[in-house]
Amino acid sequence: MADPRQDLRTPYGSMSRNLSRRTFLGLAAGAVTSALLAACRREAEQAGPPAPGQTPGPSPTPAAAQTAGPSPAPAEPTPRQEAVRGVEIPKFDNPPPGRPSGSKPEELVIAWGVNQLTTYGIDPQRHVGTVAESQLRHMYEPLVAFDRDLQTIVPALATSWERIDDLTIQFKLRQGVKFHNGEPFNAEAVRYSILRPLSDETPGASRSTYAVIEDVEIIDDYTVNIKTSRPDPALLARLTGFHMTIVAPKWASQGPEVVSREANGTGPYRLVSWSPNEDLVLEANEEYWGDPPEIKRVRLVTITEQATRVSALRAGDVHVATAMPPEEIASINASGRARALRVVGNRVPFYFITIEVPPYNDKRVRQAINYAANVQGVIDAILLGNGYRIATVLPIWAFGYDPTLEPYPHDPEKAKQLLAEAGYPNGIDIKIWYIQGRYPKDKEVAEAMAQEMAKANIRCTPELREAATLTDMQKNKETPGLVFASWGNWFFDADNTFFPLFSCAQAKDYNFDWRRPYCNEEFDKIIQAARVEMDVEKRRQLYAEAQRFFYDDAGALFMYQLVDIYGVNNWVLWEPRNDEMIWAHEMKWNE
Amino acid sequence: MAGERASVPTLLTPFADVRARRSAMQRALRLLRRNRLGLLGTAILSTVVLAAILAPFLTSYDPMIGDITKRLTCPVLTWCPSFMPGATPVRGSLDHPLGTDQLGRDIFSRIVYGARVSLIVGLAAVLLGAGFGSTLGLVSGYYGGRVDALIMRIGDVFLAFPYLLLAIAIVAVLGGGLLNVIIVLAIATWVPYARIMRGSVLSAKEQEYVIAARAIGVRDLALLFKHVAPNCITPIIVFGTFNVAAAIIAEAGLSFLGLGVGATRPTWGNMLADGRAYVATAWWLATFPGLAIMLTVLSINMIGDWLRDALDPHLRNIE
Repeated sequence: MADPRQDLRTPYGSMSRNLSRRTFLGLAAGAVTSALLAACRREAEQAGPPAPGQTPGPSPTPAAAQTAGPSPAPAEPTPRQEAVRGVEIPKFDNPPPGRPSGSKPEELVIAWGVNQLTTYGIDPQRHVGTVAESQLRHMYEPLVAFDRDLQTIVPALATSWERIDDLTIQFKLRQGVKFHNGEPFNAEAVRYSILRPLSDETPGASRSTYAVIEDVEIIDDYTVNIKTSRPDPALLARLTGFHMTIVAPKWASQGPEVVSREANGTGPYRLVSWSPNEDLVLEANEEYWGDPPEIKRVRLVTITEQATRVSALRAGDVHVATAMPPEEIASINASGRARALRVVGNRVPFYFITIEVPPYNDKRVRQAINYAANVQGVIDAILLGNGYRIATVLPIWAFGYDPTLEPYPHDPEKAKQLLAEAGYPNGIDIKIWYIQGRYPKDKEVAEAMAQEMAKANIRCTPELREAATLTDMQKNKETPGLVFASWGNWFFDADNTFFPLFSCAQAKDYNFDWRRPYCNEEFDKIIQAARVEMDVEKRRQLYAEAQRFFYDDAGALFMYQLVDIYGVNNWVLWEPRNDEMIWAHEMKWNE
Repeated sequence: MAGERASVPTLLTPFADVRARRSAMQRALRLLRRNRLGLLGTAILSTVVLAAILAPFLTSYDPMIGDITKRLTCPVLTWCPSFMPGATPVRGSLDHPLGTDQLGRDIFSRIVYGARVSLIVGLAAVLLGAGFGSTLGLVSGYYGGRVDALIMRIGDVFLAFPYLLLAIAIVAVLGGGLLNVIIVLAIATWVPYARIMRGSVLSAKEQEYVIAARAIGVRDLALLFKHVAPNCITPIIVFGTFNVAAAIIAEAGLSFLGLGVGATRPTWGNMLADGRAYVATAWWLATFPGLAIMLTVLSINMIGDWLRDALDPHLRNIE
């Protein structure tokens, strides 16, 4: 009778163990789905004091800290940030590196489970996938970037910035930076690069996210004004995005074919070799404007099978491997060659609910589903604790996240009662549409929730489909019920979750089919107002309001943030990031 | 009267004769007693069939609904591996004699219920495929000419595709589900039956009893099904028996690929597919359904061997 799992769980509490496989992957489905750029949220903070002489309090803080060029101290939290965020990121008690075995590797090998460089090659400005971003950001940089806390925006190719009016931010550019091919980095390069993914010739896959950018004015060689068509409180965060990386303009104007197979950025690594479906090989850029990376040669590879990644890690063929299975954590740590490191990740799986179809059109039914699914129980049992339960669909570090909102508890009795009130005293029969193999334990989680819901008389028919098939079925409105989705909010701002997933504008863009089944006018008013609200505090309150509405309306089946589990060879010193970025320049050899 | 009956039947329907059949059956049983493998196969298969029929009485757990807090419990007499640092290994118990799977469902229950799917698919696919294929073979062999050429060329086209690949392609179009899987396997396997039947018919239709029947005015349809078919059915039975095993494996293969009767239904193929991800950590997930498939298929093959011997007229004198 003893329950092994129970014993195992205790030491870690709810946040426990491993995470499952990493989430990357953009959803191929909607063009937009996956990308992660990190931008928005920072902007919001800064934008706060937009109005010129507004208040004494929050001056555009980052700017102050950054005038100095290099090595800007990790932006100290300003009062404003405390107010905005203040959300502590849970930490795992990760094992320290053990003794390296064998001789020091000649190159660092990082393995992902998916290859996203199949559509646009190694053109950094057109992909939306997280894996592609993680890989190509070794070579390309944006003007500004999120710090590891995902709450502070720090200088990258821009050294300082200042909001001039509601429509304009002025950037001072870093001087003396050269692209890998020797071209100088200057205002012309910035103008060219920022407008490039917005153009019709080389449209980025999530161009609509940046469409608010109207123009880039060159003030002098090292000063630009970025102008938007409407007030955009998230502009600065938006500019941290993957599409907003800076490419060498003369070289890139040779055309997209060239950019898709060569690389000339300003980043800490330069391209050695790549061809489609081959490894991406990089070497350190010794002329990098910051500290050159300590690891000189890097190979980025794809190993699709999870079990193969695990054995490659064990064999020492791979030094950093993504998405390790939770069950393998103990054995990886015991291997003496590598260790499993865990962080709360940025990816949020959830289920759309087709709210136009009975019985899902009744809010009480949707609430009942949320009460019955026992998400925390599923996290504990199936993911061995490697998921972080959240109240809605916003990651905890997103601007606008409301930490006071408690997730739906597991309450089958309440669920039954809600169903009875809605006129279904005998329960309901629903369908759950899901995929397999893309995210950690996606299939098991879906089936476990179906099992749990059955205990509250919500009888689920499991409908497992291949991802592309499911997308087609959503287009044809053939998926009534709960439909799997996953989102990585790449600039950590509520706008970049609510607007692309749950706004009426987006539903309309998708022809009101079931790739975006949620459109509620009352909710829409709130999120539209927040989109242009330049006052940080007011904007934050708008999003708090939006979350409460969305939570009460049970607009989706709310789940968790994935916990990312990395296998890391003992030769490598590294602290994993929360935003799914795996960068060799943040690693060192353990010598 | 008696004399007439003695002479005419031998001429017309030697094997279809009731007495002859009974003796064939007796002979088969006699052979079975001496054939230990056949006996073993029969015993195993009977157990599987009984288990499938009596599934609700044999199991105390719902095969579809598990308890996620009892997930990955190991089988009785074994120690559960520890997945977390510091965890104490736990011993498996009789609560779940074969352990539980990744969702906490009892593996023994799922195997027993899975036997239903496997047996139904195996038998139904073979009956359907054999019925369809041998009818076409009968027609093809008996009428010959253009009909024969047409049917056999269509058969050649089917044979040009690998068996499982063809099944996968058809499932992709029709969609999964129990009925569809049966239909698919029947479609993918009808050709060999047609060929075997056609071969037998080609030789049978030249036999005196057929000529005699035609001579006394028996009509085509009656001739085919009353006189020709019964004399050509033996190889089909033997071949079909082996094919039950093949169909069970094919169903498992389709389920393994996610093209079977549905993702959460307890079938051996589904269990194998789900267990694959846990081979390194929880061996029992894939091991037991694998054993079930192996034993069932093995037993059917042993029975097939025995049937082949028992029904082969050339071996008749050897006993």
